[in-house]
Amino acid sequence: MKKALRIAWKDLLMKIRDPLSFVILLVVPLALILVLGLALAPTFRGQPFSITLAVADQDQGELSRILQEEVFGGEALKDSFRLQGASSPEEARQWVLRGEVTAALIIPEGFTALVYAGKSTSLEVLGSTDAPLRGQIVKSIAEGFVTEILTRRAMAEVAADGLLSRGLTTPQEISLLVQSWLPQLEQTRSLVTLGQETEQSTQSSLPGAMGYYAISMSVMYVLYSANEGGRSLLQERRTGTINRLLSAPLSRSTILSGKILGVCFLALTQFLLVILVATLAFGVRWTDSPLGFVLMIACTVGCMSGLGVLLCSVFKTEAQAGAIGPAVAMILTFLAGGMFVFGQVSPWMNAVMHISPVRWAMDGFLQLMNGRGVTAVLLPAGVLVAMGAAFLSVGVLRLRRWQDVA
Amino acid sequence: MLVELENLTKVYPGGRRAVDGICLSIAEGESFGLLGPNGAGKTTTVAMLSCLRSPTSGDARVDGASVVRQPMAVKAKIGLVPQEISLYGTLSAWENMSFWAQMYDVPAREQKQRIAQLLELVGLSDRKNERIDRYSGGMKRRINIAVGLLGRPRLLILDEPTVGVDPQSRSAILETLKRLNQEGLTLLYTSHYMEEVEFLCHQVAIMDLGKLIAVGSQEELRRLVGEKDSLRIITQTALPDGIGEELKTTEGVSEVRVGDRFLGILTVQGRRTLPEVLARLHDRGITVRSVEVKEPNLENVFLQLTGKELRDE
Repeated sequence: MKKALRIAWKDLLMKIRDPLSFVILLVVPLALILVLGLALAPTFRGQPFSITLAVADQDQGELSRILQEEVFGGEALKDSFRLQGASSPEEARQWVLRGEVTAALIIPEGFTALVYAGKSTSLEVLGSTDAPLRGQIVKSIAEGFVTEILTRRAMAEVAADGLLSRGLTTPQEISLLVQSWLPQLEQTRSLVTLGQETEQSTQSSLPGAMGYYAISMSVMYVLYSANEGGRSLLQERRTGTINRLLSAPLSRSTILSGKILGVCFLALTQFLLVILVATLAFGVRWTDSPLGFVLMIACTVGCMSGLGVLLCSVFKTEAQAGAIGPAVAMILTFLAGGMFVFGQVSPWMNAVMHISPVRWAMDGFLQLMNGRGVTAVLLPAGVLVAMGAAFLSVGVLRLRRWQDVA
Repeated sequence: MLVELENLTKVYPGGRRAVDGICLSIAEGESFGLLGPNGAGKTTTVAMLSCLRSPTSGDARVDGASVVRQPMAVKAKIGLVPQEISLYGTLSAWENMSFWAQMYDVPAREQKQRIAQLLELVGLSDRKNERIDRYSGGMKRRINIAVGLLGRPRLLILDEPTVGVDPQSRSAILETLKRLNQEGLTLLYTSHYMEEVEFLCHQVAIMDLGKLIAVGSQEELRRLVGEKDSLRIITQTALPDGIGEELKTTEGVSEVRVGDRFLGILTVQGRRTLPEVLARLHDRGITVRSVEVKEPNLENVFLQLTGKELRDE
């Protein structure tokens, strides 16, 4: 173990002595955090949530007026919705297809009359595939409105039936009574609450731009430095030092352990330095849970080091490792949404993103950054450990074969 | 015997027999030269003896320890000076030596003293804190050898340790090795350079195509070709069939080896035989490009035994 640690320390010392490596592994990630953090900050600043909604009002009745003026145009939602009248459902549909509006609401002819008469009718919401979440919000508000109408109708009918059965009023009087109750729908607090909650949940998962990119870039560069560490094994082969190591009185497993530890040391040192500088220079606030943070750092370094070893076992030359390794790190980070924020994504896209270990690492650190504790990072930490173990196992198996022909 | 090779064989995937059943012994305190062109199998032999590669069959023992069954014991008894500069360029000479001292199990309390002694031995004490990548080729080679000596090995294996070194550094390296050998260190030395082997080695083995074709002292090997000169003739055109037999009838010629555009002739008096040989070649319409007459030495032995020159490759 002492010899393995000595090999690892030697590898770390060699990287520290190399000024180019120092620039690439420390200065570049910090520069990227700064540039991306500043350039893409507006994405994170909670821009005004706005939906342009086309309304094809075929009804022109009391309820369609309430829906447009008091619900979507009411005090709570008027800043978020811009209504655009369409002359026909077809025109509204075309606007959605051309992306000129976010969604369209089609109110059918006789909507108010049919509701008052207790007959079946429907509202139609068309959402753009580019903004599925916003279409969903319009649909939810419209559904809430319809539900409220039906609830009040049911309540009115029950009350009216009671009055009629006791001969306390006439059907004409009840009809007038129902019409006087229904317009009170403008007090749709529940609908407003629905819209606000959706908006809040969108923003709560994103820390500031600097924090977001501090996570994604530092995780990407952990993988980058793990690849660099793995490269040192290829370098030992090129320079022939591996032969001297193999002829010295130490086992192959000691050499391999030393090299793997070297990868971990380098990745950990680089990660800690980036975290430290990002905290001091950019004011990134990482977590309130030191335990969760240490756990995530350990699991991320372990997983990325395993991947670094696997990559090194795949590459045949240092040049390959130097060219392909960083590209792999960038692709995995991009896939994980570490370069640009994808916002809300579909379930299948979410699954694809989680193929990348970078995503799991980001999930864990984002949880911590959002004030969650150690229990919130157990899943991402566990997945990172499992992925790292799988990468390392395959890498070590391949390297053992590789050593036989060294 | 300190080193014993018994039917040592290495067959690589694909069926190439890099080393083909070689047997030899090296006595303690001996300086043993292994000669052969590239592809002869000497580096593979050294690799098996250094436990870098396992033999396909046969065995090698160092001080009784088998490379197959007790590789760790073998490793503790040998020092390897590989053909490459096996050092870490961004570390200083002292840092390199310190790292390798730990790898070779040098006790911590002895490390400083031993490193200082070896740096003194190779004449680099005053440059010990400089990074290796700022050293000249010769200085790197000297540190490369010093690292091989760190573990106080019983056997120092040197695989072409002077490749790319200037004559002055080469001379210093050879002098150092000779002194170490005189102090009792056993050397196994592989080289292309005949004069190095002639200077350093008591015993010489010649390898070609994975096989040992001759083993003995320098005198014994020279006796294989007698007190004869070698003529080395390169021709402009390809040599016709039967030319070897024809030249063998020339007075004084005892052996002729024929290549595509090469003739190796062993003769009692090279300078007297040469005119007649050239005349015969001229009569056959063969244009001669160069002629060289060599007096008996290991190179002639090699040439006669293998039909090629050591540095042809």
